[in-house]
Amino acid sequence: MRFEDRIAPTTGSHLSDDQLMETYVLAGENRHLASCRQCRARLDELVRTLQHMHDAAACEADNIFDAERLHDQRERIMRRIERHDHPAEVVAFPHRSTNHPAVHRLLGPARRWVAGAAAAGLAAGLFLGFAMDRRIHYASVDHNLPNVAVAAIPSLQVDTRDDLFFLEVEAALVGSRVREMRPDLGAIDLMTTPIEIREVSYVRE
Amino acid sequence: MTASGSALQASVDGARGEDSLALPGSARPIEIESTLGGQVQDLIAAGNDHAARDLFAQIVTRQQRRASRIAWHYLRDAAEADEAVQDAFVKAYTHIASFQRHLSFEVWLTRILINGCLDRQKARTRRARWLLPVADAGRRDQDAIEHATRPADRSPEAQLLAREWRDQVVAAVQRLPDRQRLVFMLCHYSEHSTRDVAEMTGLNESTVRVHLFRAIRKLRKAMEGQHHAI
Repeated sequence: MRFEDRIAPTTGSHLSDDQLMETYVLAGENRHLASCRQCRARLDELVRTLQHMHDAAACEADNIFDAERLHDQRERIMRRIERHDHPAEVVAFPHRSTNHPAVHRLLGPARRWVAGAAAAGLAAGLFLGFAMDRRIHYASVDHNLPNVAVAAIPSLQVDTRDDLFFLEVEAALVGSRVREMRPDLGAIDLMTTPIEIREVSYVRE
Repeated sequence: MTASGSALQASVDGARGEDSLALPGSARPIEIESTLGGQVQDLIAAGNDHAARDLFAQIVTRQQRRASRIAWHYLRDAAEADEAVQDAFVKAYTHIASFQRHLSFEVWLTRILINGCLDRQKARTRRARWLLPVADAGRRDQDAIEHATRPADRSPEAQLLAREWRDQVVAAVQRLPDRQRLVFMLCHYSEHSTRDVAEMTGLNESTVRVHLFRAIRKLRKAMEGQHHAI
């Protein structure tokens, strides 16, 4: 059906609502509208309604997006575009130094070998260090194995004054007056507190 | 303007003001944005990024209000609409090389924007499916609108009527099927011709007209008996 036929009045002498809307949507020419004041008024009403809807929608959106908000939006857009043009520089790590060309010239192609040797030396040093540390650790553990339980010898609580005294005795024994002191050793024994060692237990940790 | 009849034109012009709607079927004149877009392309190709950005800023200034309106009506969330507009402009700049000069820059940009809005709407639907609803941001926006559009010289009764009418329009538009809503918004809120909308949406122009026709019919039915309180 041709457009003209479709929007021509079919029932009665006026356009139906659908025909009016179709006329509006298609923006087509309609002879009936030129002659019928009533249909033109109805079309005007339709256009006015849609215009009101448009105005209301525009007003609603413009109140949300006021001048200040649009300005901020524009600023953000331009910042993002600028960031796109100048993306953040990715710094190489480890940084390849270009400040000392003499060093580079000196090392030349051997640079990789030097770096490899340094890395290998570091790894070997670390390995040896750990190994030595482990050996020392085991040795110290073996040495300390017979650990005397002090609690088992209650009578061995020694006074510091006694220590000093024994130190003096030892000094005398290794000194020049050893011979002189020897006959008096029994007297020394009498002077010291007799210690009775009952039992000593060894506890392995 | 395409071959719109003089009788209809006379009838329609009488009902429209200065800043009036374009007829749905009418074509848009050649826009300055397309020329600017071509110049931006040239400047980027020449390596003059700074000048290209300055020129693109002009396009942003000219188009951002219209883009914001579309995004707002589509998403009904100011923050999300704001982000969608930003994304669309940034995407347009970064893909300016693919812009064809003989086409409308506005249509191209709107297509990018609509695709972004659709993606956001899908993401929102997914979020709503899995997450609990958060505070109603849309309601806050509505309150802001109410506050901003409350004329001092209007009686409380008139304000109430205007608010009710607006709410009913919004509800009626929201109830439209997706495609009809999209076509209606692009034709009536964004003042695009059916040809432009066909380019933006990838639909056939006659399909766009059918969607528009059905949308108007539904809205008219929904708004029957309502007075224009704006």
